[in-house]
Amino acid sequence: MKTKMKTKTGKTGWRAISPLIMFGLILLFVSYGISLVHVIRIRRNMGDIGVDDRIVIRLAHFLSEENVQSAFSKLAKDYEELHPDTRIVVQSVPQRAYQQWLNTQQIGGTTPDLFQLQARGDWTMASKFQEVLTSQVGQVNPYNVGTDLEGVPWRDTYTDGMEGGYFFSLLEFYGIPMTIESTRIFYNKDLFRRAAGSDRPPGNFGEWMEICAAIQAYGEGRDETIFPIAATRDYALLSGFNGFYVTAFTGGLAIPYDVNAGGGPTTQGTLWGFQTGTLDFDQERVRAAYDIQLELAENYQPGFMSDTADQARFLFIQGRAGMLLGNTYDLILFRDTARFDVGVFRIPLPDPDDPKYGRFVTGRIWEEPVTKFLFGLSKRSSHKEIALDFMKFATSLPNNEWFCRQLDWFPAIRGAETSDELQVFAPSGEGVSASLELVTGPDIGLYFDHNFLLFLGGHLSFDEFMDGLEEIWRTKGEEWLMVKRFAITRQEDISRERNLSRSRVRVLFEEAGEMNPGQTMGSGTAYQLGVQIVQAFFAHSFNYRQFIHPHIKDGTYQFPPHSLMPAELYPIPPPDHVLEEMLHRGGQK
Amino acid sequence: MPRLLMVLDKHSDCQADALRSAGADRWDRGINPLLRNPASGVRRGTSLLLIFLLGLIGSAMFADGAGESEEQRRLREYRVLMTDRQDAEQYRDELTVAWSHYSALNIQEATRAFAGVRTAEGVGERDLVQALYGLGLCYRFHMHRPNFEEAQACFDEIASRFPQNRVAAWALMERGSLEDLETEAGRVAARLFFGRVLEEYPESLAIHETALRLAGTYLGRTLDPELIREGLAVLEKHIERHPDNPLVGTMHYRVGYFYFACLQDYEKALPHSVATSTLKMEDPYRWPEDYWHTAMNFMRLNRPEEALPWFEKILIDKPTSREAFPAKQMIERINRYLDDQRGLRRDPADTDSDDSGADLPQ
Repeated sequence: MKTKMKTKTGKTGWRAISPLIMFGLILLFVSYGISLVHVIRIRRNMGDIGVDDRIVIRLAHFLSEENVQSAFSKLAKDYEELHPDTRIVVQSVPQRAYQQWLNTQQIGGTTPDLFQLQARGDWTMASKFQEVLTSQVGQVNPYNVGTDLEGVPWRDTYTDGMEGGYFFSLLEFYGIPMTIESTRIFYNKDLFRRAAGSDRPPGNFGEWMEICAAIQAYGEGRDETIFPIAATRDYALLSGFNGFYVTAFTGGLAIPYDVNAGGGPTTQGTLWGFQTGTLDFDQERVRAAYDIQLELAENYQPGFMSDTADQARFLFIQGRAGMLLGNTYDLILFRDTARFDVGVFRIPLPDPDDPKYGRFVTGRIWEEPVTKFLFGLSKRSSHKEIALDFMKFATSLPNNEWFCRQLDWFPAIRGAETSDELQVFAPSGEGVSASLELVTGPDIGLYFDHNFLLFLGGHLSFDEFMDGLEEIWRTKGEEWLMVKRFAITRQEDISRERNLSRSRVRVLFEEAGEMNPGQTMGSGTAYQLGVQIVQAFFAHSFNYRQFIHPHIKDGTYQFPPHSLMPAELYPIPPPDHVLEEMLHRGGQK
Repeated sequence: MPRLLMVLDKHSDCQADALRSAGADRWDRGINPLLRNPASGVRRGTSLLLIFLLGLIGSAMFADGAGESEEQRRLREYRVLMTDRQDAEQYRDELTVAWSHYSALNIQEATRAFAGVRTAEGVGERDLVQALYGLGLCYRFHMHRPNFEEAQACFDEIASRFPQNRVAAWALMERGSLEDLETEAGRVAARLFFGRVLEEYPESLAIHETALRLAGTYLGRTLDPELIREGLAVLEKHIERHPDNPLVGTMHYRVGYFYFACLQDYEKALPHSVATSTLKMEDPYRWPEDYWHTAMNFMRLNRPEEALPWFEKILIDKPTSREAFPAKQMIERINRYLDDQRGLRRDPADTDSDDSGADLPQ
C-alpha cells in the first residue's frame, strides 16, 4: 500500500516540497539548461559538434588582435569555397593562457588539428604531440600553380628554406612558418613633428638622442609628462638594447677564443678566457657598450624596471611616450588604436665619426632571417592531410602575400611582395656575430638581470657591475657549462639516438617504412643525416669540451689556441699579450 | 576503403564489420562518430560528459595513449589484438604495424606488437630477427622504463642464434652501444662488440657506423691525447679502406675537428676540414659553419690566399647566414693584406683598418 508523504501543512506529493526548495530546483534546472545550450553553441562554433556533414579542421593561435582573426577567417572562407566539404574553425586563445590551454587539450586528446607553437624547436612537446612534416615539406605546394613558385618543393618556397620549421635535435620538420619577425622601434610621427620639427626617423645614435632631448623639452615646455622612450625591463635586457649594443660593439671579438672555429659567439671560450686570465670584461669596447645604454636609459620612463610590455604600449598609445621597442606584430595594434601616425625604424647605431662611440662599432648586428609564427600539426588529428592542405593554401605565394599585407607583417614566402613601408622589418641578414657572450645559464643570468637594472638606475658603477659579473662567471660558469648543461644535453642524447634508430631500421627492414627522398635534408638519406647529428654535431661538441677543459686547467692545452694568422686580419685584433701568447706557443709547436 | 579497415579486413570480416558499425570508417574520414549521432541537446551534453569522463579514465590508464577517447582506445587495442594473432603466414602486416607504433613513439604498443610476433608459432627467422631487433630497441628507448638487460638479451639472441643473418652485425653494434660508455669497463666491453662487427662482418653496411662508434669510445671519453690518436686512427684507417662509404663525411668531420680543436694540429686537420666542406654535410643549414671552419683552418696556418675561396663560398651558398658578413669582412681584409704583401698598395692611408661598419646600410 502506497503511503504519500504528508507535511505539517497537510500537502502531499510534489506539493509537499517547500516553495524555497522548489525555487532552488527550478533555478538549478534552468541554469543547467542555459549552460548546456551555451556549451553546445560553443562546441558547435568550434566545430566539435557538426552543423553539417563537412569535415572540420580546427586551428588555434594566441594572437588576440581582431585583424589576425579576421585575416585567418578570410583565408578559411576562401579555402572552404575551394573545398566545400571542409570547414575551417579558427580559434584565438589569449597568450597568457595559451600554453596551459594547449597542454590541457593535448593531454585531453582534443588538440586542434593545427596550433601555433610557442617556441621554435621545443623537441619535448614536438616529439610527443606533433606530426613529423619532413616528407610533406619536400613535396610541391599545389596552390602555387601559375606563380613563379610552381613546381617548387614547399620547403624551398620559403625565404629561409623553411629553416624556422626544422627542429634540429629531432632531425625533422615540425613547424609551418607564416611570417618573419623582427624587433624595431615604433615612433609617434605627430610627436616627432611637433617636438623635433620633422617626422623623419633618426639616421644614427647621435640624431636619436637629439630627438629624445627635443621630446623631453617639448613636454616640459607644455607642462606635460612625455617620455621619449617607453621601456620595459625585458626590452632593456638581453632581448633588447643590451643584446644589440654589446653585439654591435664586440662583434668578432670572440674569434681568437673560438677553439673550434665555429664562427659564432662562444660562451665556453669566455669561461676559458677567465680561467686562463686572457680575457676580462673590463675593456673599452664593453665599457662603451654599457655607456651607450646608460645614455639611452635617461630617456626611459621612471620605474620602467617594473613596467610590463602592456603598460609600455599603453603609454605609447596614449601619446605619453614618443617611442617604444616592439616586434612585427605590434604594428597593426598601434595603427588600429593610436590616434597618431606610427612610424618604424631600426635601432640606430653611432656613426663611425661619432666621437664617443664611433670607433667601437663593428657593424650592424646579424638578425637570423628565420621564418616564424609556426604552426604544428597535431599527431591526433583525424584529418592530417586536409589540415596540411589548408596550411599549403595559406602559405602559397598569393595567400601569404595577401595575409601578411592585411596584417602589415613581413612575408615568409619567396617573391611575396610587400610595401616599401614594411621593408624596415626585413631582417638584416648581413651583420656581425662572434661577439662576446656575457651571460649564460641561470645563475649568471640571475645576477645579470638584477644588477644590470641597478646599473641602469645608477646604483652600481660599471666597474662594480663587471667585477661582480666576472666573479659569478668564475664561481658558477664552470658548474653551468661543464656540469649542468652537459647533463641536460646528455638527456637529449637519448632522444637523438632514438630518432636515429627510427631511420636506421628503415635501412634494415622493409616493414619499417621507406627511406624516400622527401625525408632527407640534403642528398643523402635520413639515416646518414641521423648519424651526422648524433656522431658529429652533438657527441663531438661534448667530446672536445670535455677533453679541453681539464687540460686548460693543468696548463697542457694552449688557450687562446695558437694561430699564425696575422693580427691585422682579425676583425678586432686580440690584445698584444694575448696575440704574443698565441704566436709564441704556436711557434714552439 | 580506409587503410585501417583494409588491414583489418584481411584478417576477419566480422570483426571489421563490427568495427565499421562502431563508426571506424567515420574516424578514418575524420569524423567523430560519437559526436555526430543525432541526439537531443541533453543527450549531446551527456555524451560530452561521458567522453570527458572516459578521457580522464583513459589518460589515467594508459601513459602512452593519454587523453584518447574510448573509441580510439578500442580501435588501438583491436589493432594490437590483431597483431598478436598467431598463424603460420609471414608476419609482414604485424611488423609494419609494430614499426609504425615505434616510429610514432608509441613504444608500449610497439613492444606488445613485436612480442606478439616473437612468441607466435612457426615464425620464421626473418620475422623473428626483426621482432627481436624491434623489441631490443623498444626496451632500450622506452620513455619511462628503459630495460637495458632485456634489450641486451634481444640483441645477444640475434647474434648468437642467427650469426649468418644480415641483421647480426647491426645487432652486435646495438649491443655495444648499450654498454655504459661513461665507464672504462663499459668502453672496453663496447670495443669488443664493435671490433667483432668490423672483423666478422667486413661486408656489412653496419661497419661504417660501427667504426664511428668504436672511435667514439676513445674520442672525448678519455683525457689522454694518445688514446685520442688511437680513436682517430680507427677512423683514418676506415676512410682509407672505404673512401666512398656513405658515412665518410661524418668521419672526416670527426677527425678534422678533433685534430683541430683538441690536438691543435692544424696541418693534420686540414685535409679532413676540406673534405668535410667539399662533401658537404647532409644538413645544408650547417654548410656556412663548415666553410668558416675550413677557412679558419687555413688562416691559422697563415695561408690566407687558400682561405679566400672558402669565405667566398659562404657568400655564394648562404648569403644570409651568420657567417656571411664576417666572411665578407675577412675577404676584404685578406685582399688588402695580400696587396700589401705584394707591394701593390701604394697609399699608406689605405692600409688603416676600417672596420667601423660605415659601409653598412642603416
